[in-house]
Amino acid sequence: MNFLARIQRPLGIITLLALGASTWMVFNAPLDFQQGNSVRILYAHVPSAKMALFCYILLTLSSIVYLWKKNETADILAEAAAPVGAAFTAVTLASGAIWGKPMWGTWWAWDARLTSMLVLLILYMGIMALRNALDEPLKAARATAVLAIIGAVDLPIIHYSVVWWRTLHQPASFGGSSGNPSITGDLLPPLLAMAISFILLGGYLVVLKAREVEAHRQLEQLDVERMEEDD
Amino acid sequence: MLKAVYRIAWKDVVGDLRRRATLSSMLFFSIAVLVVFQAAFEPDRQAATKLLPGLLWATVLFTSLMGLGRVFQAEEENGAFEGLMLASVPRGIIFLGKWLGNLLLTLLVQAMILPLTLILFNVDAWHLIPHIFGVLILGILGLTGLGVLLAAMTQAARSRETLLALLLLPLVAPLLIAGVQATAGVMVPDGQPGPWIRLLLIFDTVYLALAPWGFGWLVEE
Amino acid sequence: MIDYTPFVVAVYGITVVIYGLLTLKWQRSLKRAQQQLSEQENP
Repeated sequence: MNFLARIQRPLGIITLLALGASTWMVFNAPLDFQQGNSVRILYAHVPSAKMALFCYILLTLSSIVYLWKKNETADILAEAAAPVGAAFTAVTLASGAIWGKPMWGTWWAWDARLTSMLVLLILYMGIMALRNALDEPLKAARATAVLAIIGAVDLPIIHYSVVWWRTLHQPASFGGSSGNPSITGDLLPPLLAMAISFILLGGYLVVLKAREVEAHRQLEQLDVERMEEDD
Repeated sequence: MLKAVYRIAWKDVVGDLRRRATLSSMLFFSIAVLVVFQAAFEPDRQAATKLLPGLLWATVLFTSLMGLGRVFQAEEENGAFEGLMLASVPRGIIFLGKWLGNLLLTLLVQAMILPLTLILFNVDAWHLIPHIFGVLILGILGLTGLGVLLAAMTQAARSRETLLALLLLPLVAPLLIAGVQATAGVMVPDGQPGPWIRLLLIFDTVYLALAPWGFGWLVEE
Repeated sequence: MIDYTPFVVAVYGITVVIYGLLTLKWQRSLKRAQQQLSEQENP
C-alpha cells in the first residue's frame, strides 16, 4: 500500500501525457478510405472493451488470492477493480451504441458482443451492490470474492451462448466480423498508443481507488476502536 | 453424510408443506405472472404456441426467485443459521441439503405450472409434457444450484430480495437462452434441441460442482 | 458519405467526462479521508 502511495502521482502524470499524445495521434492519423471519421470512435471503444475485461481478470485474481491467503490488500484491490471495470464497460457500451447509430442505423442491436458487455456491466453492478449491502466487512469481502469467481466462470458461458443464439437468429448480419472494420496499416499505431494509454489509465484508476478504499477502511477501524474504548 | 443431506432437505420440504408458505405463494404468483403475460400479449392460438417456451421460462425464473428468497428465511428468523453451521457435517453437505429442498419445492411448483400454462394459453401440447418437463428439470437443476448459493450470499444483506434478483438474472442468462431454445426444439417435429440441452448440462455441471465449494468459502469461520 | 464528426465528438466527450469525473471524485474522497485520518491521529 505504501508502494501504491508512492507510484500514484508519477503514474497519474505519465497517464495524462500518454493520453494526450495518443489523442493527438488519433486526430492526426490518416483516415480510413471507406469509413472516414468513424474509425476514430474505435480508438476509444476497443481499448475500453479490452480494459473492461482486463479489470474483470484483475478482480477474479484478487478474489482468488483473497480467499486463499486471506490477504486484505487483495480484497482492497478487488474492491477497487470493480468500479473501474464498470466505468470501462459503460464507456464501451456508450461508444458502441454511438458507433452503431451511423453504421447500423440503430443505437442498439442484440449483437453477441454488445449483449455480453451489457451482462458484464450488470455483473459489475451486482458485485458492487453486494459489497454495499453487507454491513460486516469480512462477510462482504468473502461474498463478493465468491461472486466474482462465479461470474468469471459464467462469463465465457454467457458469451458463447449469446453467440450461438444470435447466429441462429440472424446469420451474417451485423454480428460477427462482417460488421466490424479490420484495423490495419496506418490505423494501427494510434490504436496501439491508445491501448497503452488506457492500460496506464486503468492502472492509475485502480491505484487511486485502492488508496481511497484503504483510507476509508482505516477510518472505520479507528471508529470501531474508539467505540470499544468508550464502552 | 447422505442422511444429513436428506434430513435437511426433508425438514425444509415438510416444514414448507405444513405451513404452505413458499409453495402456495409461488403457485399463485406464477398464475398472476401468466395472467399478466396473457393480458400483455393477447396471443392467439398460433402465437401462443410460438411464445410458449419464452413465457414458460420467464415464469419459471420469476417464481423460483420467489422460492430462493426464502431458502434461508426460517434460519434467519429464529437465528438457527449459526446452529446449522455448527452441525458436525461438512458445509458442502449442508448446501446440498438446502439445494435439494429448494429443488424439490421448485419442481413441485413447476409440475403444476406447466399444465396450467398449457390450459391458460390454450396450447395443445399435452403429448409433449414429458419432453418439456424433462427440459425444465435440466434447467432447474442448475438454476436452483446457483440460486441457493446466491441466496446464502445475500442472506445477511440489506434489501436482499432485490439484490438476489440483480445477481441471479445476468448469471442465468445462458440458462434462459438454452432453456427456451431447447423447449422450442422439442415442441416442433424437426426441432434440434440437442446443442441447447448440452449447454444446459454444461451449466448444471459447472454450477453444481462450484456451488458447494463456494458455499464453503462463504460461511467459513 | 455521412459526416461522423458529431458521433466522434460525442464518444470522446463521454469518455473524458466519465473517466475525468471518476478520477476527480476519488481524488477528492481520498484527500478528505486522509485529512480526517491525520486529524484523528493527532487531535
